[in-house]
Amino acid sequence: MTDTPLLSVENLEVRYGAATALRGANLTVQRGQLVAVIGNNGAGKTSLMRGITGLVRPSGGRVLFKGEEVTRLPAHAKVARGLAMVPEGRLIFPDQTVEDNLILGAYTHGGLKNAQAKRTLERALALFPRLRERLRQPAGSMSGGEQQMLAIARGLMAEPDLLVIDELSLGLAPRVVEQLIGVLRDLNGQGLTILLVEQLASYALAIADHAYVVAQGRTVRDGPSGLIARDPEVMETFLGKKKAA
Amino acid sequence: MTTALQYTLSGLAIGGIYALVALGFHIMWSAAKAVNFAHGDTLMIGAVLAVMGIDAGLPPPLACLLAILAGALFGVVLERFAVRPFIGTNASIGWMLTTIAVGIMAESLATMQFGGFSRPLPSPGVAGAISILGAGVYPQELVIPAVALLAMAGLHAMQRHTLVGRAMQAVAHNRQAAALMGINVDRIVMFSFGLAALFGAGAGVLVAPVIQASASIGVLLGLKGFAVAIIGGITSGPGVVLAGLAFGVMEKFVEGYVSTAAREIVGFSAMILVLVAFPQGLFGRREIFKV
Amino acid sequence: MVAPKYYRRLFLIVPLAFTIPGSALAQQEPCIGNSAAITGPAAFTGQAIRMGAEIALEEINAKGGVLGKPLRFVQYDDAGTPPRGVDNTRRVALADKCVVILGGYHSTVSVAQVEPVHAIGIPFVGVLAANTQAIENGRNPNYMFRVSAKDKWVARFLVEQAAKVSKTGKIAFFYENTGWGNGAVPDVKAATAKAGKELVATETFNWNDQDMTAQAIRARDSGADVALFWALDREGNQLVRSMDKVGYKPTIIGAWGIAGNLGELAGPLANGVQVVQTYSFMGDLDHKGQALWQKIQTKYGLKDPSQIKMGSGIANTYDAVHIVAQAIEKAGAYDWKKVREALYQVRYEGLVAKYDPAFDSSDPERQDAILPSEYKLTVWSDGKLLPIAQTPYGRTN
Repeated sequence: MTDTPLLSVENLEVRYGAATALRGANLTVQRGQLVAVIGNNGAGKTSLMRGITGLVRPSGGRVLFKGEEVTRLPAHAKVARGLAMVPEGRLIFPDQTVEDNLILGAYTHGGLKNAQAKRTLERALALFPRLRERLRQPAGSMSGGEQQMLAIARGLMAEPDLLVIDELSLGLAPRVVEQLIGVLRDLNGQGLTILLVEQLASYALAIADHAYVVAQGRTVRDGPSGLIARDPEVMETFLGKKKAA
Repeated sequence: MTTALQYTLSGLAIGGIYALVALGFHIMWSAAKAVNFAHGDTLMIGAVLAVMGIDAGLPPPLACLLAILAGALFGVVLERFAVRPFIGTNASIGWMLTTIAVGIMAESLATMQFGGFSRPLPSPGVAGAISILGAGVYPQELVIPAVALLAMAGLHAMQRHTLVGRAMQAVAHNRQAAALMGINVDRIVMFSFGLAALFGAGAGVLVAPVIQASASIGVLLGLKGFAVAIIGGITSGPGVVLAGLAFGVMEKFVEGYVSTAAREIVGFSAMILVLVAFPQGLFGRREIFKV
Repeated sequence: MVAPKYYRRLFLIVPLAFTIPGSALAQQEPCIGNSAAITGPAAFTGQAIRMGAEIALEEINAKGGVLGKPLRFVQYDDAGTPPRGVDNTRRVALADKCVVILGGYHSTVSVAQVEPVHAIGIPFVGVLAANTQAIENGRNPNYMFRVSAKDKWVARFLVEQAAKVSKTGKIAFFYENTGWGNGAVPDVKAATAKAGKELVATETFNWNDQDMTAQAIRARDSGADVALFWALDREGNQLVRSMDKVGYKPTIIGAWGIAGNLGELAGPLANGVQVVQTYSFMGDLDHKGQALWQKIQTKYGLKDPSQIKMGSGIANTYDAVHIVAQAIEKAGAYDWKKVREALYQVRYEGLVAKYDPAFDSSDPERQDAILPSEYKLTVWSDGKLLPIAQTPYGRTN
């Protein structure tokens, strides 16, 4: 059981027209792990996530989820199988209320119909008390940080086996980012498998078990996050620390 | 005074039809950022099939129901084969041509099968005129705007309180975000087009007893319904319904106090003026397209 | 479709080159041609013309034909569009070389046919379209004849009937905003003045209009107790419904645009609406009408006269073909010029009228064979269009 990874990505290729954004990425996520993906802007991190979750159809390679090949499945089918994503830019529904957004998160379970869904909602609101205060407000009226909380809570409502989070810190103040990073660590501690793509490498590496480095459309390096964090090139490129002389 | 009331009541009746047609355009645009230019023909399908159903011996309520369902089916099939293939990643407008083409084909087919004559659709609502403060109107004509308002309220309620309604709003806002919720966007769009066509065919069945069914009733009504949707703001359901009712009343007043010939001139001029001042329509919202 | 210009001229000139020089006896073929609507919403009119022509020709050919030769009928579709009518005219005259061409239902087509008819010099006999100027076209010699109603006279007839029934002397006129409708306005105005009545409301409407309450209110408030209709069934239906809604109940008399299915569309609201016809197969027929109805039943399988749409078309064509046959006999040759001149010599007791003579060359108005005294009033009664005398609506005087 622990042998079969929850998510397995082999030689994934993503093209937009003539341009190749991802030319061969390999990634594995075991159940219970928190895996970080770091890399520069334009390296292909987001394309990798979009290819995994089905927002974009990969032009080559394979994606296996819970042992099943899901490479060509559209996004909505993957959510139904337990692969949810908190997308880059959050993409909450601004004209609908916070509650509506959360209900939509539970779409694959039929919304808020049953007791199980209501319990999930309670847990999400307990995690983010600010959302409970704003439950009936239009989601677009909230601050960036609150919207990110909503996006994460919405992802949780799908009761996913794997939660992918793409660019958590975009547009957020460091304090908020820290708070959210803490939430992710707690969630992972409670058993949620998380795949985190993050610009601010230090934050991601701090909470991850395993990390991948993406550059020029490929996964160029991976390993336990501690090792990756101390890797000289990584330190220089992403952590802004000079090589030891 | 009686005359003004007469024009207002007649205007609300035809305005109710414009409103229902426009509501259909609103639903389709929200779902797919595309419309069915054969939408006017859903009225024709509803009216013509209802008459043909009665010819075939069906009881009128059943004939009307089947005609409305057939109209909804038309919308679904059209979306699948004439719209969806053309909603690309680019701002492609192939769906304009295909839906216009399908509309013309549908009318030609109807003319061949149904003939060039108009045929009446019986309804208790036109059995006798009632007089309200001196103005004469068929009960059917009072029902039409009521149905339009009911449809508007029903749509609103569905969007607020049902899962599929929320999903429609999600798809309208951002297809990718909606897909990430597990929403099958194609199916929601298909449902939206089916719902819009249902409204259209329903409008056809409602108005046929008043204006008689023919193969060509969809043309002008569809065009004006679209104009009304633009004026009201195609992104706003209540907006298009109100615009429809107002447009109908305005038409009647122009017919009454100026002339019939002036009606189209004034109507479409109003549309142009509104668009100049409010490019997104009176109640609409600015839309930004990623290119 | 429409051939390029030079082809058409060639098509015209080459045959003419063979016919112009040479003997006065330019022989045409023993056929009668026709351009009419065979497809489209007015397809029933082409059908009516065909029925009248075929039965008349059967009778004529049973007696040995004309000048020893059997006559045949050839019909081409114009779907009511003038360009096709013009092309069909050339085809009938120059390809089929028919001796006469009959007209169709659409006045716009007849108007367009005036030019080619005169350029070629083939006699034309209208059998339905009633436009005044198509036949009273000022040409000399005039090759356009007609055995049918004439709009100018229909307008007068309507006004005369209105004058008979109106108690207030005030008349309203509802006409469609087309060439047909607009053309009738001056005739109606002139006839009303002549009859000493007041035309208090002239209201127009467009095709596909659904609500004429505005117009009905104005007519009602002007005090008109008779309303004249120059409309088609579809708009006529909306007119009577609008009048019903505003409580306006005048006597309604109309031109034959409302002779199609007004009774079906308007239901009981059509009862009492009078329509001008040249002939009707409904009700009691005289023996000539009986005979023709029998032949129609046998040849076309109809069971009830209510299945006939545009009975006037059948009757007009039937009479027209007999008149043409007599003209050819009198001319002694299948020759366009001679047949045209001979048409003025024909006297014939027909179905619609006693033609004595059919045409009169000294009177430009008399290129029309059917006089207003022969016009008949029919009235809608429970979905059927019946001769008025046979209904409760018939006036005893």
